[in-house]
Amino acid sequence: MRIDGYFYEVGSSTRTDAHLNCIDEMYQLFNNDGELLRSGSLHDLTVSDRVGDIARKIYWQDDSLFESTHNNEIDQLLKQTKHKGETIGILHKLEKSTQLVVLGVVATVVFSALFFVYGLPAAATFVANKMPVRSAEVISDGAMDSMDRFFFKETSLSVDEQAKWQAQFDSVIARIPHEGFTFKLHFRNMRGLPNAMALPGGDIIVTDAFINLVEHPGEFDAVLLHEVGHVVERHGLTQAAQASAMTVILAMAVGDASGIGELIVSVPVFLMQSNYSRKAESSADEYSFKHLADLGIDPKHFATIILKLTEETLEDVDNDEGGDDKEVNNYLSSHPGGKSRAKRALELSKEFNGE
Amino acid sequence: MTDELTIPPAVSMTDASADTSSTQYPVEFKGSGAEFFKIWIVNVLLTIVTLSIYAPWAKVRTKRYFYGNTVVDNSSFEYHATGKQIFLGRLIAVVALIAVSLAGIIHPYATFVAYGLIFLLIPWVIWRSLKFNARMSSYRNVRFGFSGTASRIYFIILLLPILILVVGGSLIFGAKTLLPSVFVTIPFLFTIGGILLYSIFHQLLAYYSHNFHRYGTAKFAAPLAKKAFFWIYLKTYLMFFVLIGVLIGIAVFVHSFLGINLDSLFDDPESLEAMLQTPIATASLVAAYALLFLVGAIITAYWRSRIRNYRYNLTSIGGRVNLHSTVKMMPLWWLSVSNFLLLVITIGFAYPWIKVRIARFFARNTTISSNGPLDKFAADEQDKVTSIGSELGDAFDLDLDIGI
Repeated sequence: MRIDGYFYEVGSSTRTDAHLNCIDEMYQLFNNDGELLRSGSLHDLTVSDRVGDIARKIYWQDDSLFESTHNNEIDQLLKQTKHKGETIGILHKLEKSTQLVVLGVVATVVFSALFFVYGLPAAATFVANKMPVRSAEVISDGAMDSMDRFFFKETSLSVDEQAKWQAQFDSVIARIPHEGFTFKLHFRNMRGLPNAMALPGGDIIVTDAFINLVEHPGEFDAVLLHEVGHVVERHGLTQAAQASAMTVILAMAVGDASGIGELIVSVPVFLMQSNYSRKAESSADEYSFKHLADLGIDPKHFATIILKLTEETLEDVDNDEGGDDKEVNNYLSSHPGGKSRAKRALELSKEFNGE
Repeated sequence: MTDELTIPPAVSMTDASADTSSTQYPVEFKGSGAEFFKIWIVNVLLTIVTLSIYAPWAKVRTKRYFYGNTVVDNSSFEYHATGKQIFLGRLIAVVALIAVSLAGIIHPYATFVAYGLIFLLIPWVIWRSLKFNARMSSYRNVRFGFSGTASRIYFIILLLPILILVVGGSLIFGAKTLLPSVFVTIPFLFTIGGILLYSIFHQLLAYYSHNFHRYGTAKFAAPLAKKAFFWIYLKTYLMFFVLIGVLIGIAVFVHSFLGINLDSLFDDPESLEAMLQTPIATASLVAAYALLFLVGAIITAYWRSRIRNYRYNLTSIGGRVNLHSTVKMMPLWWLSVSNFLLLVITIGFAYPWIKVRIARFFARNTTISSNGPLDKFAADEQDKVTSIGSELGDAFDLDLDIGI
């Protein structure tokens, strides 16, 4: 069998047109002028594995090289002579199998889906739970600073009013488990919007407009406990861990291929970060319901305040059939629609009042 | 008249000889997307099945595919690293990371010390990776090499940024406290200063990469100038401003066309909130992102193409081979954008085609010219010796193109 290619002596890029003549397990290497360059047993040569159709490299012990693109002939030669390089050819055979390629596609889809739906959130929760409270406080301080700069104005509540709510805050906080966090209440004005939010380190921010909506201390307590729920269940930290992991993974996957990853990756991550997930919201709600009941406060206050925040009425709740909140467009809003949440609170209120 | 026709014979002789003896070798990429897809999917499958233990072997197969399909003058490149070498290198990294995360058990401050050590090791790992990747690459049976020093990379990526932070930080702080009135008027100077510093940083990295690689015993040389980097960065920055200005112009025009008053929206949060719930808002947000993405891609393409062309066009090997790069902004832009769209539409399965398209694009835009054939480059004996020894911690395989 004759295999054409190039021969390179060890130590130089000088190239000679050459061909291998093989009879059984013996080879002879000729240059194209017919001069014999080398000869011996094929088993003394090392042949590179086949990958696609790239040129094969056949090395002598002294690192001289014969390079040839005649892959099929070389494969045949390896097979005939039972050469030691033949076994590794299995990968190339796998790559030619259609079934395996289909299996690969299916497995990849299933695995990626499992990873994003279960693996990543589980890992993020694990990391968030391991994070020391001190780190959460550092993150919160930074977030508080930048929010003060960009979103908040100083509160216009009177000192007396602030003191009143601070006392209310302290009395609730004193009666619940802290889980290592120190809770602090902040009053701010946010373009006149009613809102309450929690930072992962235990800072709880209420806006002036929110305080003005509160008609009963129980309403304040209900929202406060919801925010405490976010903190002790570490939703913010989990979300942050998940977002960073997503950024890295997407940037690696997309950035590598297009060179413009960073820009586009920030969009889904921003959408993720701008809102607690539905699960985290209802988990914080449940935390609030449980502790309201423990503290002897009627969960109906949760319903009334949440409806005021989402500008809905109790009649809406009664008329509502499917619990289809206006949440589709709510990625940009910090509080999703509240009808189903109010419903749940009212059910618990009935239990609370022994009905 | 006769004066003009009289050309000094010596000059015309050298010109003519330079023209005839310089041979152009295009760089070809011979791989295909369909072929690489099969290799890739088998790699992915085996990596999943082995819980990522197979990853180093997958990487070797991928690199061999791309090296082997890159062909100059009918000879192909070769990647020599083995999966085992890379596996050992990564194993060391994983063990180190586990040790760092466990350090806190001994003492709370041990974590800080451990992270500090990792931080100090980063330049060293980059340096080892540069050496490893160079040595594991060959063309025509001659290995590449990298003889840059570790101290230089420590200086560039560790010492210099710290110095700049300290000096720049104290300058800014000093100006802020001593001359508050002047300070507010000179953010422009700080921007220029930032561009200047970053372009110098980039030049230093590119210079390091392009002047300390070897092909056998033949040294790479590229007299890259800081000034040229600064100009590219400055132009990129100006382009950014012009294009963002155009975008804002378009936004204002479209909104006035639709009869939306932007000022009143921002003054009145209620109507902003209501506005955000409408389909028009969603549509215009999506359009804004799309435009921003397209513009961002133009700027990136400009920057990448100019830097690459500049780097390559100044690079010579052993004084007789020159590299040429002819990457143009808009084709590179289209490559990025179309690749991104392909990835999104196929939820990632177009990845192998994209890698092949990128390799083909850059190969097509690269030429090698040589005075005479590409023969007689001598291998460096040392490369052969060290390539055999797969001593522990040798095989760090970070892929980085530090000169981009």
